[in-house]
Amino acid sequence: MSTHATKLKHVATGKLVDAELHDSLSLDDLLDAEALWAPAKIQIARELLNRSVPRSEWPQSLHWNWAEKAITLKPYAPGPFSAYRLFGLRAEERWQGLLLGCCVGHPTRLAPVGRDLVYVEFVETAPWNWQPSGIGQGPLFKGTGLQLVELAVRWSEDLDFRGRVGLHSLPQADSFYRGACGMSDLGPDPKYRQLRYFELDESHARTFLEEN
Amino acid sequence: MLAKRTMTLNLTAAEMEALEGLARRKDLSKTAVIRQALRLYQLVDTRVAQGEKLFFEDELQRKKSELMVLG
Repeated sequence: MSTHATKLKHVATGKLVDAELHDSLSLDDLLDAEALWAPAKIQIARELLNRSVPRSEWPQSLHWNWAEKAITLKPYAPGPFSAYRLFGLRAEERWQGLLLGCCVGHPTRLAPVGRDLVYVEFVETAPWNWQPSGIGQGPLFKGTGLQLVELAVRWSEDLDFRGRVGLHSLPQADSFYRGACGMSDLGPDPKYRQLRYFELDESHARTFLEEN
Repeated sequence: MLAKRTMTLNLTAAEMEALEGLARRKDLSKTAVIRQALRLYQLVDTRVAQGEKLFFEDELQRKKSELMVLG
């Protein structure tokens, strides 16, 4: 696994703190993340319930479980030579965000159609970096998601895919992919629970890397 | 940077033509096509080894055919 130094913005102080980008996480890393994230998610769920926040406003990845994903991924041995690869961002000795990408079986939908791309299966920031509505919790760090998407774009470049990336977005993240990432919104996908499909083409990938 | 090893690949003219055709159509280098083919083969092999089947589906014609992958 290789790591690269980066910075994350600590929201409360506005200061930049040291962080590390990791480009080939092990399944153990996912278990480590889940061991810390699950209690934090339960705490958020408790607050949401206690304050009667409508279910429609709950964080949409609240039920995700990276330990389960580790079990599913085991036969595929995620890594640089697998169809699957795991990326992560670490600061203050804990995972601040995770991304699972796949480089097989997801052809481009934007022109030129049918080219290879990196498909983001899952990307999630640590629950303490969320800002769930109605419970007054602010994010600890900002900028994790963008740096993880950048890792997917760079993997796509390494594979000769010219930075092309695609994903289905949870509704709460639509504006992030459309705005901050500059991805094209191809609309709801009837084959994927009506989640909107977003794609980053070659030219927008170049712009994304220049701006981030 | 990951360590890489070099190997000589002997292909027939027809195989090389197929490789070059894929590289052209997919806008990939020949090396990238071979790497991608290897990942795909690994993925299919893993899923078939778990007891899954591989199908091709034509939604318009409503046809579905199983691709037999030899173990």
